[in-house]
Amino acid sequence: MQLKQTGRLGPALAAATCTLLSGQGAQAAETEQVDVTSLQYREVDRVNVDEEVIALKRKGKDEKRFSLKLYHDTITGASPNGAYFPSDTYTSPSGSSYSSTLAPITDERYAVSADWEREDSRRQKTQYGLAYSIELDYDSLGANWSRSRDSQNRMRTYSYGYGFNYDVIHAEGGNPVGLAPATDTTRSNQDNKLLFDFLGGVSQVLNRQGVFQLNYGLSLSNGYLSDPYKFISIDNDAVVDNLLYEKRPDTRLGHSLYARVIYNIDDNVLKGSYRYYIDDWGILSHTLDMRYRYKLNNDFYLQPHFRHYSQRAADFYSIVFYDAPAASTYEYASADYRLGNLDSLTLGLQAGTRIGKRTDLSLRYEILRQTDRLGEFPSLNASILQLSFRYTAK
Amino acid sequence: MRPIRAKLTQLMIFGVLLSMLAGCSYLNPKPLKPWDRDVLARPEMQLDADSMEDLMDTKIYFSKEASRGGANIGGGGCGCN
Repeated sequence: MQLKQTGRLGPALAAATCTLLSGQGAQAAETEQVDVTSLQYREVDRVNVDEEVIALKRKGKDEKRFSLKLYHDTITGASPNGAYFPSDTYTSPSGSSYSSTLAPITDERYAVSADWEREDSRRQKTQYGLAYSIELDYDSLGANWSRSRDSQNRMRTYSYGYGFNYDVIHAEGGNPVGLAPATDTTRSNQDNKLLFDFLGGVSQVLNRQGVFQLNYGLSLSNGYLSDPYKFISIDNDAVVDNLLYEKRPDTRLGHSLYARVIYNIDDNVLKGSYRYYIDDWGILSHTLDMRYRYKLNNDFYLQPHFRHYSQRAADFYSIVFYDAPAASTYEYASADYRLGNLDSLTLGLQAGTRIGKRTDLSLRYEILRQTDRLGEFPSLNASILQLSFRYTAK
Repeated sequence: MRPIRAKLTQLMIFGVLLSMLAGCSYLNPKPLKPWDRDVLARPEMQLDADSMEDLMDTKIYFSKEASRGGANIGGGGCGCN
């Protein structure tokens, strides 16, 4: 694991940590917590991501909470750019034969987010959040607000909240025009994207052993929603003779339903969730996530993880487009496999231990496999390694 | 094809919301006393028990799949999708 690339964040992190832990805040602190996590995400022959996050949390005696998160990540490797050429190097079960073109990718991202939570009354809490992130070709500014309220007997909690993001896309060399030929040099320096989220839900205590949660989420995006680095291939009588920049609609409305249960079984904990997602691009997906925290003794646990995701493709997705009657008749088109008929399977194991009374350590290793149900693009294999450290001061 | 699908989607969402409401009315177990909440108060029983893992998973799957949201809102944007 590595925590070497904190770079410019180093002094800022040190200052923030000192301020938070020095006890000089307005309120006498009841608990303070520092989380440090480091992630290595590795795709076979494709993208590598290294990410480090530091989270500082403070809870005052008056139940006011403050948390600050600092993120840094680097991306290197290569990613499919959507251009496909007939090839005999890969033949799909459906008989199509294409090989994807991998384009080199490097990026670095810094992000910071801060959240405040206050207790309005004995049964009601309100939370505010701000987030900002910068990349070489993407900036994002976000704000969110949410409120939760317990029922009279505290068996049920209702919550609802809003999130808003203003993102700026400024691809290297400028953002291309959708469906323009790859040779076209028309560019805009920057484009914007607005994102609005609503989430409303209820969590219910089932009995002494478990809790159940249900959420409904709505997300509305507007603006430049295409990927400036992706192409589509136009196949003319089995010969790809033209590459165009992809084009996605400039609005997107999505709905999600999310159900989760957390249940204690003989001091072990079963955590299961299901999400149904649908949007007006034609994407429809099911996500099942299961974790089982198996307690070995008071200081050590193991937690297997299973996740399955299944997605129906967007209406305007195709691995290759056909030049009939003419490429210009397409309103929207993308060959980004992430909008395709996708299945993802994740299997993992996490081990965690407590050292002394204040320190927790955990390590997880997972494997991720993404496959195309139609077998048109090759499977993606990746591994996830995450080391987390938590220090709690009371 | 599209209008039918949109109608079906609306119907399905309405149906699930209705069953959520019905479920919530049905799920009305006997209130727990404070001294019966010991198990629910454990750190591993909290909704955010795996917060750092969830944080990373949200980003990984947001950048590798076409769905988003569900569990919570907030956090920074990302040009990875």
